[in-house]
Amino acid sequence: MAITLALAAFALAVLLHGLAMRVSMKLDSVRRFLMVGIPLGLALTAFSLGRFGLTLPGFAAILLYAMLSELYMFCFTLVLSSVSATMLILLRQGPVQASALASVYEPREMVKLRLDRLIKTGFIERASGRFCMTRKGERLHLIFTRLRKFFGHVSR
Amino acid sequence: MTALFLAWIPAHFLIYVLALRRSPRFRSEKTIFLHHFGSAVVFGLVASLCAALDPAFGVAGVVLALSLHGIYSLSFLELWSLAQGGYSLSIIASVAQAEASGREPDFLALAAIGAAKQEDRIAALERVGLVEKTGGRISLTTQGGTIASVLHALRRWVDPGETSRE
Repeated sequence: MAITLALAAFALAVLLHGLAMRVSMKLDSVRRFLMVGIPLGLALTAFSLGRFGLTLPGFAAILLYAMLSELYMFCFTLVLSSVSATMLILLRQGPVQASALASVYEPREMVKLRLDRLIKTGFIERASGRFCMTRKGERLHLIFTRLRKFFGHVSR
Repeated sequence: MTALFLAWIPAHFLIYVLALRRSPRFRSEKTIFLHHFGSAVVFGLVASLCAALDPAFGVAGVVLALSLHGIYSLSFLELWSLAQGGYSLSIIASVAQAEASGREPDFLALAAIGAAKQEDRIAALERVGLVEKTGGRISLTTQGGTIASVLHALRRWVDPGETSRE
């Protein structure tokens, strides 16, 4: 019962996210999911704890919903921004020349697309014709510099 | 029994922090993925065994254990992968460096990273058997076709504007 409830809540969150993506509003895809996913998660938590108490099925339902939501967010952000995912989708239309596939995703366009996105999301701003970091961007840069060091990645 | 599962995840993380993260092998995507995938498989098997031996643990216990591991592994791998080579993060780093040195960001170098990324990705897709090269042309394998259809359906779901532009 608890597991079915979590699965139903997740299915409803995905359905509402799909609908939210079809409505005009100034929110990116992740925020649109959070807008529907968080209230549903809170409702599921309240219902599960009320109905099942502090039991294994109650916590299992909450954690299952959280895990499925994280997996869904990972999948749709991957599909929207990953180079590999875009190439696979393009190849559905039929075989292409290796050079043509590489040129479909023009590197300078990729940079421009991401710069626009970073400006839109407030990580970078343009001031006096120059690109500069916002405070939000600086924080993110600092966090990922530390993470790169933590994971032992070679910095570029 | 639940305590065993709750202790597993911090233990798995501590082993990585204290022993594995300095190893060059654990800087490869494949190794870090297998480190988590292997742990999840063992975790799932132990949880299933517990469910068989203790009816109170049951299916809910297995779901709880696997969800916990799923949240941990997904979060870890996303951060690991973003820190390794997130393109947007590389752009932010480039803007930060340029700002510190009072110059414009080197967008040509960033475009070169993008071009290298594309070549890496085609080679990686070929290595895992999702695409194949025949006479200079790239096509999807059967497995690649299935995955591409799933990705396309998901993109249509979350980006209906993109679909109408196709």
